[in-house]
Amino acid sequence: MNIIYIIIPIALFLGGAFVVAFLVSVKKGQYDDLETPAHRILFAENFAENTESQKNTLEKSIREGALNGK
Amino acid sequence: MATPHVLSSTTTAFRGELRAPEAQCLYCFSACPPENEFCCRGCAQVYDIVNARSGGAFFNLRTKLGSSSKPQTQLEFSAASDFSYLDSEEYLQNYAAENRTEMEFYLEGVHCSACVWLTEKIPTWIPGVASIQLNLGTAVATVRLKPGGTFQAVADEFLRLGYRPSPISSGVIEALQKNEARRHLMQLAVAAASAGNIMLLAAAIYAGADGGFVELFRWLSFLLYIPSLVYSAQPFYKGVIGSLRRRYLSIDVPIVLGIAMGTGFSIYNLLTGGVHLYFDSMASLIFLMLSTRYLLRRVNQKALIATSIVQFVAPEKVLRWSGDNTILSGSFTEVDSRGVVVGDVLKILPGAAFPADATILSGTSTVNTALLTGESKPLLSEPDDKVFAGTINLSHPLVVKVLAVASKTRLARIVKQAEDSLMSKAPIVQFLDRVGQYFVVAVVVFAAVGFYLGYRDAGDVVSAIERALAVAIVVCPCTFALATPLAFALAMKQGARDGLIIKDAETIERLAQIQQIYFDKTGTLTTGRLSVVRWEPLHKDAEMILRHLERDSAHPIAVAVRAHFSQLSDGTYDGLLVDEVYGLGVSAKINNATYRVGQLRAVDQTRRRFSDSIAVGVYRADTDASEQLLGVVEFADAIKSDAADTLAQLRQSGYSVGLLSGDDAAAVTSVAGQLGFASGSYFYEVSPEFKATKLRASALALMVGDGANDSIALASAYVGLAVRGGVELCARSAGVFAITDSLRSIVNLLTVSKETMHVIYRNLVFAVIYNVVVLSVALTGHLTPLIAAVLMPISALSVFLSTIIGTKKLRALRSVNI
Repeated sequence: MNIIYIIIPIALFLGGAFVVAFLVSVKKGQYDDLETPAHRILFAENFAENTESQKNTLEKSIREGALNGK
Repeated sequence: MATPHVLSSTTTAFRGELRAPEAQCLYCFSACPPENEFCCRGCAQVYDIVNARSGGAFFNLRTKLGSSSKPQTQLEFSAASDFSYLDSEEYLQNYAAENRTEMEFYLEGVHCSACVWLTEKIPTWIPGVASIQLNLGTAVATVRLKPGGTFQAVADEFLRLGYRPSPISSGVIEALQKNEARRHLMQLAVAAASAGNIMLLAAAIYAGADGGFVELFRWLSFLLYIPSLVYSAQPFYKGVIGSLRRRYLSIDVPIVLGIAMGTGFSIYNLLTGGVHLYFDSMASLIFLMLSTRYLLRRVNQKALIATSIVQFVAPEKVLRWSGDNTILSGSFTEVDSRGVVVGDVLKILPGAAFPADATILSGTSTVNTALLTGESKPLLSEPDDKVFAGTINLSHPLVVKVLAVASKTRLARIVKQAEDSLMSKAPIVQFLDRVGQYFVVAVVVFAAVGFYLGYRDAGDVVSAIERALAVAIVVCPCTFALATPLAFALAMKQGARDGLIIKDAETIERLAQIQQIYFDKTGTLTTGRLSVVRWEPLHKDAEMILRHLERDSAHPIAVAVRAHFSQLSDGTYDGLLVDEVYGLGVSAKINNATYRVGQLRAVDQTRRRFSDSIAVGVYRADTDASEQLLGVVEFADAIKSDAADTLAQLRQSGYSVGLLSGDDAAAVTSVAGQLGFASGSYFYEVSPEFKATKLRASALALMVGDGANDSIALASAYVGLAVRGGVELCARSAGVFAITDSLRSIVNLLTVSKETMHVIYRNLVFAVIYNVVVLSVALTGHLTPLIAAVLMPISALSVFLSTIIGTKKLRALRSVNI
């Protein structure tokens, strides 16, 4: 049963670490908006690592769209 | 000239309405003209890009998931706005945060997740922008700049993508609110961690841990309890201090009393080796109370955000004097009204609203101050008189000097006051305080009785304290003191979602009892705007003449004409000089003939078909001859499209419905006939005082009317529902304030109120039975503090569940409604 003397500090440390992690994330404002991130994730794939050339294509397609008046 | 922007968007909205409404935008599913695939440029662009990038996968996915987006009014922007003022020194001082690199914009036209993607991608092609974050719930985008970036560039881009940006001043109060919300969440998290871990240890002790473990676990649970006691429970301590300072007892008092007793007794037992520790129950008590309050606060804040966004009354463009201040050289140029600063000299044309508080330099005009004072009679204003932001100049151009802008205007101060009173009268606070008054006394009395009985039966102080503690814990008031405001808050949230801001809990209580409903006519059952009901051309050119003459006027009749003949004609008479005389109409000279659109001559009155309409004739006068009639247009205030449905539903639900209008007999009778009011249930040509008397005489009546003209009636009714009108008056006279034109939400409002009161009564009955039963058991000494600590959260939870389940119907209602 002496294992308990080791397990309890570990458990408390882990628990404490998660509490601290949560507090930090709240302070950073991650919980201010709970609605948008759910939508944001829909578009996250592929777009995140836009290379320079992709950026240019993106820009171009948007500009063209604007010129065509659509 | 005055506001081309606004006019064109009205026309577009109307066009969409008149044609097949079932046509949907391919992208966001909003209604749009059938010849277009998309409702706005933003949607078209995102559709193209997303489709190309994802190889069509996204739209397949979305078809499967179904769209959650809600159709909204579409906006189209004819002219680009000038946003250069955004980066001016004065503006940055007022609106930017974080060392002038951060600004928040409210984006009109945001309604689906693609908008999030598109706006947040802007930094990839506009240089100097660090990041953009859009909150879909509030439609507020936070823009952060890198050195060298300008807010103007970002705002231009927003507009080009199809969202109209309005900068929001992020005041001190908003920042404080944000911090407070974060702090509450952190306190809640600490309380949850503390309670959870203590319970694990407590379970081990109850399960029969022995020897040195018991002592270790006891001390550990005390250690784990400290953060909860010191940090998480702070709101309760603050509540007690605040309430004692104001010399009354709030609900926090019995909670803190319970915590103090439990903590003190547990520490005493910990030190003396007594058996019972209550750290677990104290920690879970703190956690439960905090979580309920957190939920309530979240619900309420959402409603508040909705109210503060409604107030956007300033015009888009104003004429500002540029040149020296002596008014000798220089000219008026068009600028964005949000760029106006104190000391500017502005020219305000008839029909336009004042963008700021100002004093008149020259000109005499009448001003409509209904928004501020509710007075519908125009006020005569002369040089040196003050005019206020949001009021409307009616008859003649005025040159004014700006005295106060933005948050310093009288209008902004009033809005602020209304918000403050909304905050201070929040139902949670009110209700908790009311219940707390009685509860705290009862708890203390019963605990004392428990102590006395325990001492009498067992003869020692320890068991006496135990019994007192069991009583104090078990009757913890969260059962109904928190579930009731939760139900109210849910109802208010539902109301806000339907576009109705409910002032307080009492209003919901009263709404549930309503038996009679009185409606005002103009602006309530009707749209309050003129629209063309009949067009009779007598000459082939009549339509063209009419359209050209009414092309630029801001008069309601001209707006209705433009909405009716939506296509703009070819430029045959471009550059036509149109004379507009207020009260008489418009006229112009074309090829030696004078054309006029205005009042019908007496001889032409026979051409009118509707008795309640306003008729206007198109006339031509050659140099030698008298006027010749080319066509007749009739306008009427159209009945809202959902009025008939709503009234039918209300009648079906057993409400008696009436109509009170100050309008003349012909107009009222016509509307009453179309909407099925039986004779005797509608009244015309009545004064506001008569309305008030009528409502005071009817016991449980709801008055639905204009916040400005009907303010006395709204205040006299059992419940008043203001559909539009002055901010100040709405806050004072009406219990409910509509920010939507739809009438259907009234049916929902009444159902919601009834259901809510039903749930609340059920909870109260449960709470009374629970408290009587457990109290008698605890007082007779059959309940240990341990069982009490288990029972209390269970009872709280069951009431909670009952509230959530009870309001389930309301949520179902919502999906039907949309």
